[in-house]
Amino acid sequence: MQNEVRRLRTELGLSQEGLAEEMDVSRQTINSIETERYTPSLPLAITLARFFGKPVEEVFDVDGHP
Amino acid sequence: MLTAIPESKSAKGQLFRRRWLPVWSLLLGVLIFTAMAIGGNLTWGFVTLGLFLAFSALFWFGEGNETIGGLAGPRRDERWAMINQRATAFAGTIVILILIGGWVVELAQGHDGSPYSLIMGAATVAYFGAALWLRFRS
Repeated sequence: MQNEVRRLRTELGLSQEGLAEEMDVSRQTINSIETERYTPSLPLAITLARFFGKPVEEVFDVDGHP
Repeated sequence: MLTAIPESKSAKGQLFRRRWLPVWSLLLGVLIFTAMAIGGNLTWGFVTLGLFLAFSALFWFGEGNETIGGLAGPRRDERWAMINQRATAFAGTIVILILIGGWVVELAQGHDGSPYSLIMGAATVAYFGAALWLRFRS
């Protein structure tokens, strides 16, 4: 699933490890989401979107046009 | 901040998550060693116990590593839970294929198919039981 997690994270100056701690997941999971190898669960997707202060559809998109 | 994975954060829950696999490996090793010792195969019992001790130590002391931590539990998040579920399903599929092979060979040799038939029967009941349970729960 395409997403804007990496862009939004770097805009905040956060490392993958830092975002992982905020989300209570591993750094590998954040990396896998950013590289679109892993589609997060709905709760994690919503938590990520809330963390970035964006609607979830602005962070994740199934059509490839976030 | 919402928590992504609503899991127990109690000290007891955390301790269980961190230590269940190394403790399980150790207990299994001792159990198998005991069985082998009773069976008079002490040498291979020690070898097996050593292997299980090595696994236990790896999971106990290696939890700082993300991969080992994900496998062993302390760092298991939803992605690791998915990996574990898929790996378990894959291993289960392999075991089922081996069971079918063993069953067929036993039948072809004129035997009654045991113990493969019994294990296959138990697996079939377990699968449909779990599927029914999950069907009503989800």
